Amino acid sequence: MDLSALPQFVAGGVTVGAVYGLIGAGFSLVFKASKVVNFAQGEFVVLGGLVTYSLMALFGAGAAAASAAILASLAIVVGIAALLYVVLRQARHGSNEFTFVMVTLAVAIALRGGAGLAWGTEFKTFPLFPRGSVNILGAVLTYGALITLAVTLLVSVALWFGLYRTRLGKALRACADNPAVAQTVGIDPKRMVLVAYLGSGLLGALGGLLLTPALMMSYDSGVILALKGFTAAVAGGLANPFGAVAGGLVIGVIEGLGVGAISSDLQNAYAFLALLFVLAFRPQGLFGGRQEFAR
Amino acid sequence: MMRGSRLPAGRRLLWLPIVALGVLPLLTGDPYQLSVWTFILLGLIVVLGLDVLLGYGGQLSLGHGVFVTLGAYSSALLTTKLGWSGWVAMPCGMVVSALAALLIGIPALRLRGYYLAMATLGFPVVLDGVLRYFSAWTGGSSGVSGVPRLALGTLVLKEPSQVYWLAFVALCAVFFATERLVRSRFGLALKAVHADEAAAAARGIDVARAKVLAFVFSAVLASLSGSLYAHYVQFVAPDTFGIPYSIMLVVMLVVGGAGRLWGAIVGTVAMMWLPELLRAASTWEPIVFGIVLAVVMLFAPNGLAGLARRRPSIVLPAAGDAPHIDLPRPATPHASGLLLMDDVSRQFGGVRAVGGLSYQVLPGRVQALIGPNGAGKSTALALIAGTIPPSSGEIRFAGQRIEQWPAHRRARLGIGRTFQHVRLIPGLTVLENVLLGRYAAAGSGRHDDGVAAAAALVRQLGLEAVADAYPSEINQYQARLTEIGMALAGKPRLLLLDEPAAGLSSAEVDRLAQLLRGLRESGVAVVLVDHVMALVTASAEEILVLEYGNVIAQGTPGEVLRNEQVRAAYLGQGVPERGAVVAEDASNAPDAATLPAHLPVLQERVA
Repeated sequence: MDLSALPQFVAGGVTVGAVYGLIGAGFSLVFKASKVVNFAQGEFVVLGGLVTYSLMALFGAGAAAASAAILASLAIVVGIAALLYVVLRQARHGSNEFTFVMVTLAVAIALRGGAGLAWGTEFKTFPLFPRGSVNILGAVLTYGALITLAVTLLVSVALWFGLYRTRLGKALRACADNPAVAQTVGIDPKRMVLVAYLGSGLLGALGGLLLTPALMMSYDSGVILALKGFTAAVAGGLANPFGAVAGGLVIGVIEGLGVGAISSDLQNAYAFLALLFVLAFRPQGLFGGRQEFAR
Repeated sequence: MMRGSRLPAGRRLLWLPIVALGVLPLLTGDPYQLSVWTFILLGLIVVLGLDVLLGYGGQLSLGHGVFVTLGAYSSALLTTKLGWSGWVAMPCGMVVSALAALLIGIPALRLRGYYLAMATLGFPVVLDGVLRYFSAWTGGSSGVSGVPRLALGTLVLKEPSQVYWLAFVALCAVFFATERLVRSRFGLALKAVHADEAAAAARGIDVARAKVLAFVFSAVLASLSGSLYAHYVQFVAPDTFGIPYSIMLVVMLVVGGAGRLWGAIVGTVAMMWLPELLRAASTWEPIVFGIVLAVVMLFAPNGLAGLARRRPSIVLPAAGDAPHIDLPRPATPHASGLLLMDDVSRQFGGVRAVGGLSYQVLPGRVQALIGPNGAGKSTALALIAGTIPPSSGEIRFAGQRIEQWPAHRRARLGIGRTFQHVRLIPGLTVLENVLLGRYAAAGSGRHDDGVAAAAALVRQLGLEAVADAYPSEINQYQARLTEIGMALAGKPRLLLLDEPAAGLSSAEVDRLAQLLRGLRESGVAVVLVDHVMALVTASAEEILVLEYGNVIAQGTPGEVLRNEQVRAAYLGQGVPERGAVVAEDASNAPDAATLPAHLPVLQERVA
């Protein structure tokens, strides 16, 4: 094994881990608001990438056209997240969380099928980031990687500000702690769940947008991406969006090191094996409170 | 052994779809149709196991395909690499799967909630990676081909109909085992664990063990299916039973209706037939699939089978053959009390819920524990029952130190309890709930005797009219009695009752008092917590009064009720000595506004 290549694997791991973190933060947000694990989170990522791909082709070249394509695709995916919420609202009275989880799974299966029909089975990609790279501690980081990390950092700060410094965020956290009590002070728990879904749609779409130029995207990439994002979220403490981002970075690095040091056959396994260790020794996740984990 | 004649009609009907599956291939000689049905049968074997785990035990496994893969690879590798017979390789695969399930299950099932789902979700990916990594042995991503067919003596099972029959025989065996399992003591225990882990533990069920066993059982069935698959298709690859397959298993089960065996059958057959129906428009298949799942979940959250009222798996047998109930266990003589608590304390953060409680309970007596709200009464019961461990102090029961024992062990030792808010298992009838209570009386013999004894108890409690009803269909008094019946079925030496009279009418309280006096005569010790003084004074020989976690009085009802400190703390001053009399007759009760704040029962009555 060539040790000198390790910094490069770590750098790659951090970059892809940042995207896992964004996906995981989407899981966390919805779980926090409604105790539901949203199986369609991976589909938000795929659609974020594929819709942008098509819109870029449609709008043509140029920075303005690209920006329009990005904004439009983010809006479309957020719209799909809203649609998922509307579907979930149709549940009969007395449905439990498991029912909702299964409905998100149903929507995920249908969305994946739809994406297969619309985009076919080939991998798609589009150029987004300026070409070029910098050398940091022996690792070559492309501008794309740097932008990905910067966006993740920005999103985390925005998420923190939104959750802890705005009325809406406080209402959402109150709802997460106790919907019944939140309701007595005039907060509508349903609206908070909608906000969480919109947020998770946006986070997922951003993840797809950042990932597609570097790693390409196909209609069925969502399964593995959701798995990684979910792993990140669980490692970070499921109901803690910042834990999810941190968890994403950790498993990204573990994955990078594993691929570099052992074998790429096990690429998808490292993150999960790491998660098992976390769950065995710290069931509430690396950054989660015990209370939030227990059902 | 459950004799065929005892099987309720619903149980026999359950075999109908199975028999139909057996007859169907006779109608078609088409090899393609037969192969589709063979795959359906193989899928059904896995889904039945998953139903035990998810539908009965309430534990979600999202990576169940790994056990199918383990079975398939065990069969494929042991036969092709070592030349073993497939019939030997198959049980080997089952052992491998069972061990894997133990390895995963023991740490993952200690905790509640989605823990198992989280831990299993990534297993298909891990196993896939491992199989690829050790490609020298496993064939890597190209899998294992040339798996020999199974043979009976010299007859090689290679015709589609022969393989179909093999799968059918396996399915029959699996269905027989599964049906027996869910109807057994263990099946009841699983349902209880699913519904309410604390209530299950109070009945003597080792919750973690029950979950692990269900997981192992489902893993073994999955492995069997995988082995049969490997010999049928003669090829297996790392991703044959990956994440999509694992998810599909859960989808088939929940669409059909988890927690019902025929739900598993309906779901599997319907969802595996769907692709055949959609062959003309196969590209639309996932979309249709998703819509079907969404519609079923939204409008029939318990699946298609959930649309029908659940049939009781055990119905009240006719009276007459009811054996004598041997309620108390043989009383062992104790120098002092049956239960001895010595300086037992419990802190919740900075709050001392129970402080230095020393308490003795004698057999054949009803002892009451009273005190204002927040006095630590329920905490004291929880400490005795083992729901929470004490912060310090010593608890002895029948001569054994038990303060570190988990709740289920204490239940088996002879501590029965009811909860402040009745905790029956919603998916079980009154009779089945009482039968579940027998779990605590470990090693209490054959299942049928258990049913008869539970039925006798149900009659004795006057519950025969609602014996086959579900908890949502009975009233508060019947629910209280059922819960007491559950505790009694475990043959307790000590019975802990937490506010059994709350919400009952005065006539019902009288009947309850009568029941308690009857228990006392049979030698059971009863610790009664209640605010309803009518019940306490009518049944208790001794009253212990707690306030803020400390004992403020102890003695006979007469002594305690005359105690000034008690009247100040609990009954409120200026109330007639026999507050119970007031409580019994709501029409004579004063306005709520004039009532002492510490007497909730009076306020309840007036309100």
